[in-house]
Parts: sequence; C-alpha cells; structure tokens
Amino acid sequence: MKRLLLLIWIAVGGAAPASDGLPRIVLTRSLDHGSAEILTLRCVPDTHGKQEFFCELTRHRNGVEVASRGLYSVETTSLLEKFFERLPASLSADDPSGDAGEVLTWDVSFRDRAAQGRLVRGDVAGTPRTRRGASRNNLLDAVLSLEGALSSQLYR
Amino acid sequence: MTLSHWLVLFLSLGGNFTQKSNARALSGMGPHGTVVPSEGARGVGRARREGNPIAADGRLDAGVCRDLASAVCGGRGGAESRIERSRRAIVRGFLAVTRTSAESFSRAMGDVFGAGAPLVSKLSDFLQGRLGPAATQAGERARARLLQAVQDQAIPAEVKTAMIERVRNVRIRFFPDPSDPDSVRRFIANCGADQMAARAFAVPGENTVEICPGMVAGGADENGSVIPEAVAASLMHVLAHECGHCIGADAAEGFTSEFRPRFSGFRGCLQSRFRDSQSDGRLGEMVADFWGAQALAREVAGKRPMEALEYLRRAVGPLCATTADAEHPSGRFRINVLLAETPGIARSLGCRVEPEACAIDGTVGGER
Repeated sequence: MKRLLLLIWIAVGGAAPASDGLPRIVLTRSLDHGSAEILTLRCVPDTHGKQEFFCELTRHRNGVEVASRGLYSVETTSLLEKFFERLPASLSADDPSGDAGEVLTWDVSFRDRAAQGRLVRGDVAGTPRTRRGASRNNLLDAVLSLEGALSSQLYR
Repeated sequence: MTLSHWLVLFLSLGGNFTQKSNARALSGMGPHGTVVPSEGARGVGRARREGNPIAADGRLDAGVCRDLASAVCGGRGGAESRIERSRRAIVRGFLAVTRTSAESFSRAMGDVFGAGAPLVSKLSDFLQGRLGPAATQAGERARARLLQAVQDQAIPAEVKTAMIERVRNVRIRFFPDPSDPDSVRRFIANCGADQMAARAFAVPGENTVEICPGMVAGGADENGSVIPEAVAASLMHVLAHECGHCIGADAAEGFTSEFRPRFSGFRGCLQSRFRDSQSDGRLGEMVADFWGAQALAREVAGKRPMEALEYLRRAVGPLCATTADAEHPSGRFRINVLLAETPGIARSLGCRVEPEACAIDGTVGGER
C-alpha cells in the first residue's frame, strides 16, 4: 500500500563544515515530479568589523529566484544555534530506502557543526509520532523549524 | 548596515542568480541544471522561442501544435514570481488579521511543534477560511470532469462502475485536521511550516488525495484575493491526476491497483511508440496523467484556441520545469505527448488529432 509517511535518514557530522566556519544552509523541498523549491543561505565576512558576517537568503522555485533578503549575523546565529541545539545527539542512520519520494533535503553548517540528511515519503500514516523514536521526532522538528524560521524571513 | 555592506554582499553572493535561473527556465533545463533530454517524436525536445502564438488568420501558430510545451512554458519565470507574490500576500494577510508581528511569526515558525504550534494552527484555520471554499469548489469540479471522462471510456461496464464509485468517494484534503496531531505533522512535513509549498500527492490505498494550501494559493491574485475560477484552472489537472492515481495503475509500496491490468493496452501502445523512454515504473504516473488530460479536455472543450492555451498554461504550468525521474517522464514529454495528443485537447487548440495517440485500451487513434 502506497502510504505517505516519513522515513528519515541523517548523517550528522557526515557533512564537513565549511572551512571558514561561516553559516551555510541549503534546504531543498521537492515540490512534485522533479520540481523543487530551494532555500539557500550564503554568507560573507564583514570586512568593516561591525557585524561578524552578512548573509543573503534566497528562495528559488523551479529554477527561478522568487525571493531574497539580507540577514544580519545575529539573526542567523540565533536560528542556527537553535537548530543544532535541537538536533538529537545520537541518531541511528536509517536506510534511506532508495531515492523515490524525496520530500526535503538539508545541508547545514556553521562553525564546527554540520548536518545533512533527507526526509523521504514513507509510511507516516502507519507510524504515528508516538511510535517513532524520540530522536527521529526531534530531528524532524529541528529541520522543519529551521525551514519555517528561514521561510518566515521572506514574508517581511 | 551601510549601503556599501549590502552592495558587497549582493556582488559577492546573489548577483548572478536571477539571470542564470531565468535563462535556464526558458531553455528547457531542469531545476537542478540538467538539460531535459529529447524524447520521441512530434518535436518533444524541440525548443521554441516564446512569442505571439496567434497566426495572422486568428488561429494558433502551427508551432503550438508541434511543441505545446514551449507554448505553455514560455515566460514561466514570470508565473513563478507571480505565485510567490500571491502566497506572500496571503501570509501577510494572516499577519494583519491576527495582528501578529513579523518577529512573533518568525519565532513561531522557528518552533513549529513547540511554542509556535498554536500560531501554526491559527494559520491553518486562516488558510482554510481564505482558500477553503474555492479549493472545495475546484475539487468537486475536477471530480465531475474526471467522472465524465471515466464515463466516456471504452471499458467494460463493471470496471467503469467500480471506477466511478471510487472517484465519487475519493477524499480530497486541502488542510490538516487540527484535532489530529499526526495529520498536522504530515501536512507540515509535506507542505512546510507555512503550508505554502506547491505539493500534491495521492494515497491510492486509502482513496485519498492531499493538496497543500500553497497549491491553492497559486490561484490567488497578487493581493492575495482568491479567484475561484483561477483556483479551479490551476488545480484541474493536478486534482484529476491525483484522483487518477486512485483509479490508475499504481504498483508501489505494497499496493497494487486493481485497475492496473486495464491499462496494459495503454502501456503497450506507449512502449511501441516511445520504446526507450518508458517503463513499467512510470506507468502509474502516465496513467494518472492520462486521467488528468482527459479531465482537462472536457474542461477546455468549446473554448477558443487561445483561451484553451491560456487555460493550459495555468493548469499544467507547474510541469514545465520538471525532469524525468524513476516514476515520472519529463515535463516536456508529459505536455507534448500525454497532454497534447489527447484528442479533445488537440481539437480545442485547433490542432490535428494525432492518429497514433494511445487510448486506455491501447487503440491507436482513439477518439476519446
């Protein structure tokens, strides 16, 4: 039976942090049938010394840039620290079960931390939250909250 | 932050994004930078520059018939930006109505299942109030068109009756059930915390279709005002496609559609014409597209060619940037073959009906 749910696979630490330690986020949400919406945060150091760095958040949909906004380092730092705080310390690496039905992928790094992984269509209806492991629920919460926090910046 | 900071940031990071991505959208490249491969006959892979599709005699330019995908997808970048403005207007409308500051909204969206959950739930209620009536109307209209399409097929009466029964009972959900935490969680996972992702999916085993509110928002104008006719047009194909999965040929994840054997002729016909681009793995999606195109054909019947083309632009525009994967043919194939060869669509556009078009039973040159 083709049901939808969430199978999560993550490789915490599998992604190398950027060597400059600057924040970097790429969140790709598959829309349908090979199209995608991509949230990207890229940052550069502040050469004038007033901020630690400056970032630009962009949203691309189906290859078209549809929104962008600059972010201060304090905003960026806050949301990334929250993300890494929420990430479970230990996660069993689940089998990603092929590449079909990908919903969301993430590649995040900041300072010495990095995380990447993906959410795929799975058997959600048959695996209620109460039956999934706490660490997997926390992971899902962390990633969806990071995406929410970034998206909300584009409504300002 | 000074102007020079922003200038440095722009030049360092994003200055080259827009031009590249617009160029990519217009040149038939996929969202990940891969070139959409040429597929099969009838100019599927042929590019056509965006231009006036009306010939001097008032009919559509012959190029539209040769390559409908280019006629439908030209200028898609503008459409994506318009959709973005619509959804932004809707969410801003929510912030205004609930007197929520941008800061509070950001905090809530950054903790969707914790402290932010009540606001996320309020957003869901707002979206249901704003988009729900038009969405429901669109759902019923698509269902009616699909029922007509099933009725018109040359299939045994008992199969037809079973399909009709199934379509009548498909549950179409546009919003999560706030009393069911798993429903809310699944919607947010699929549609994003703002629920504005343009996703849709079917669960054929449960005879259920779920459409993200973001998909409905595509039928709003740039002020966030919902236009029921535009919502119906933008959802007609996707709804019929997803409902089509419930009477289709899906076979995955432990589920095999009871109707799958009925499409062996359709599969054989496609395989004989497009040998290397099709496979069993894509049959489920191609049959769902068959139903989507059948419903669309009934919706555009009687429209003038230019009106029909405009309707198709809205209805199947989201396919434009899509690339082939294990389950789906490329967007160009889906538009130029599975849609354009549907006799009712071809007639509405004033195009010749393809004599080799595949019908449900595989009959070449079917007139349905």
